[in-house]
Amino acid sequence: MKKTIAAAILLALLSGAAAWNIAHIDALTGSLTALAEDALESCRAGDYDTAEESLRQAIDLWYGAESYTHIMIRHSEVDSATDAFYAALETILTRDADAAESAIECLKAHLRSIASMEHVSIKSVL
Amino acid sequence: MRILGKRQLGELELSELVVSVLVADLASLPLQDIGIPLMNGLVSILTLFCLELILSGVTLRSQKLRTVLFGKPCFLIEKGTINQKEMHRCRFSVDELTEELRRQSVTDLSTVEYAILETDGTLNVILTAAERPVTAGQLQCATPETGYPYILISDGTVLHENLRKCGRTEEWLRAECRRRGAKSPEHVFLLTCDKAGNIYFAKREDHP
Repeated sequence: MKKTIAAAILLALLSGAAAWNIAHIDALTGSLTALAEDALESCRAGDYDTAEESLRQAIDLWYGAESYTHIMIRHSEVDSATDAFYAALETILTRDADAAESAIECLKAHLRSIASMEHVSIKSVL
Repeated sequence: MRILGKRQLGELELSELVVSVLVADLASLPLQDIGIPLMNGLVSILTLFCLELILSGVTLRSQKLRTVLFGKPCFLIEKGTINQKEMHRCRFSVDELTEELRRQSVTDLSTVEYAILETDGTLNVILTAAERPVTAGQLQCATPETGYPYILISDGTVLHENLRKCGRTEEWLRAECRRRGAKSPEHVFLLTCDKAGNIYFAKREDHP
């Protein structure tokens, strides 16, 4: 009986941890997407300095969560998201609005993909 | 695997076998592919263990669930007659049946009263009353209980807990060793003793 109760408690804790993980990844990718959106808006307005600042903030935030991302997310996904950040930064530094828009959209898609991977759905299970 | 219980691999129930195979597969994935975080394997293994423990706890209390999940024993031979329908249902051929019976030193099917295919796949055989070995109880012979034979010395080491359980002292043990030609317990390979005082003694061989 003790073993069964302990297993049930552990399973409940794991479910709780999984729920926290989903909330955390949603919050993290949400903040990163918001900063990427800011950078995109600034690019459209021709304010490349502000766009660069927003994207660098996003990169700092991404690196700040490195311990978490490397423990919880597939390393290939982390690496491709990091590449997408730098590809977007490169287009901002070259002051190419069209390329920047495309690169930032690509970055947002990567972030959406990371968040959706952690969600429990028929798509992610099957 | 120790948490699951002290069962031999061959005696695992279906769900335990499935969990064991899955755990082995899940554990190997993060080790083979360094791109997959260890946490992925750990969480899924822990989840499987929890589910298996909960399942075994629930089935322990529910006979119906136990029957649904693990099935129930099949009588392949009942009252001396082969149950062909049951054999067909269990996909058990005559060759397999005779092979299993031979494994248990039964060559004459007419001596078998019951052959039961257990849920873990083992075949248990109950012989007809005339073929069963006679017991001391049936012969009405008084047989003293000897109790469990405790290992008191294992490869030169005295097992003090077993000595205490056996109700003996170290002085007695040393005296028994000397009486059998060993200077001390260090010179004994194996010494067992039961409640009736029956002793098995094996002297330690000197290695070059």
